[in-house]
Amino acid sequence: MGHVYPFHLAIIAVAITLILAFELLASRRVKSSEDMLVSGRSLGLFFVACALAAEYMGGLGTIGVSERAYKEGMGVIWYHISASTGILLFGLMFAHYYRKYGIQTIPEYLYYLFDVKTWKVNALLNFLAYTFFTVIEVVALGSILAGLTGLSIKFCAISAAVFVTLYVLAAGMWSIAYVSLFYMALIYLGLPLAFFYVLRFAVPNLPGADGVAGFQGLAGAMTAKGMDPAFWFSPFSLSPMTVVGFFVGGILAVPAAQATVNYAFGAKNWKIARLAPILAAFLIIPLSVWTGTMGIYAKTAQLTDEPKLALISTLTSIPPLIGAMGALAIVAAIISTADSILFAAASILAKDLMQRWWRPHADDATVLRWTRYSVIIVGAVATLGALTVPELLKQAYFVYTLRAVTLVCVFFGIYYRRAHPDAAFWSIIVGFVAATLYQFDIPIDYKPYLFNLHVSVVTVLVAVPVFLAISMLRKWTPDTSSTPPPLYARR
Amino acid sequence: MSFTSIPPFLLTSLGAWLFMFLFFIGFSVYLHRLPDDEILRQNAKAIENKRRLGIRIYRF
Repeated sequence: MGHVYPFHLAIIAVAITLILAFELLASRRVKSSEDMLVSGRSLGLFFVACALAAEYMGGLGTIGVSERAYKEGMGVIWYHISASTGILLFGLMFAHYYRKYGIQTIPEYLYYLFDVKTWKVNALLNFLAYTFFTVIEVVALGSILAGLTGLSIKFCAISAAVFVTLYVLAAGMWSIAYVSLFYMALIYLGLPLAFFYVLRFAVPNLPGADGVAGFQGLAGAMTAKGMDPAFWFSPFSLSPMTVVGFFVGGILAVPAAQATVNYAFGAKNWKIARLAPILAAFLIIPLSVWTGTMGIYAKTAQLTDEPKLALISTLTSIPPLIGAMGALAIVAAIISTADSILFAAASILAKDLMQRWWRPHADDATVLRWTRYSVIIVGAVATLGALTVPELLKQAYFVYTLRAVTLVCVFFGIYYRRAHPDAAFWSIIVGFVAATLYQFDIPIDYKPYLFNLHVSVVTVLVAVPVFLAISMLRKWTPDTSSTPPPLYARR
Repeated sequence: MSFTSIPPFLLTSLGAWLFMFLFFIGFSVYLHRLPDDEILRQNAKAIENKRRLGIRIYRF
């Protein structure tokens, strides 16, 4: 891959310059903490939709999908169809409830639905989960950048952390909203261009393709290699359980995930908050066709024996300019997830933990300052984490569990009449304990007995009965949830 | 095998894409027709419980 490094570096340098120019523009719009945290609640349809879609198109949605297509065929398209379903459900069932209360963070909504203790425990766990996740994303980003540029993973991870921190610091949600438009343009330009080039110009050169371009030529080359195109091009090449897993994961990952849904909080009005997720769902569907096809091409052309490298090896096998555009699209997809996660952790630290809990009487200028400090703190943790603890993947369960258990609470709070604050509080606690025991095999390995279920599914299977049982046993009285939040309690 | 230029996975994905596009158009029209204050009638059940029992909901 050596000969293409300078092209990749040059194009990445141009993109960074453009992004920083965008952020200079965005920073002029920040006059208050609300501008920083929720873009002054003035985001239009395309801003919200692009930010939502870009947040979802991370490493799993690009490199992960390509890897899976390399191993199991194009049934991988269900990954993004299921993700779209989760985003669609968010728009249909949740977004307007959030927007109605003008919330800035998900834990805040748990206070409106339930009580102070549920808000506090969820805020703490949200902060920890998203801080961990920022470190994980930064390390992932560093690995990708290192693969593309030939520089060391640590250097790339630190550079990525510093870069993301700087531009989120400039204008918070405005920064991400502006840059998401740019990222979506990169994704929608770079990946289809590389996909088109591969099918039109690279496939005809494969043995067995007989000079035929497109999927027909690829099918010929696959047949010559002993791969059955009927299987590899089938939408049902993955097992039904895997596809069900995609749908469960897609649905659990979105509606209560601070990093994904906070753009709807910044929407101009409740109608945009509801409509933008539908547009985002539309935007993400084609991604698996582009990246999956390039994964299959890598296998057919025998570009690599390592499925994880399928997409990168395809992009580095085509002309450098087009390959670099594709690589930049992948970097854009991953970095747009990293910035949202960093911003989610910083929002909760500044708003829930520092202001609402610790200093509820702080004025807006102080909160704005704290928000910037929070971005720096989370960015610094991500940088140090990337340096010192590179093996954090198992800790990602924390954020999966949090999103799942918070979704259980929000769903029942909105749609179940008897949903009780104690049920919300205890389902969070019990869900987390169960997920931790399951994830770390304490005291035994539960996975063989539970069909190797994903930790978020286990969390839901534990949290739902706990929630329902406590809600049925406890009754609402005028004293339920009557403890005021710190701002009022200390007056 | 006889293979057309549009493989089955692409048809499925395009179908899903088309569905999402039509849904977006339909939902846009539906939302456009709703009055702006429709949101006032949409309350979470837990918040309705609080209102019914006179529990004060403080604004953060």
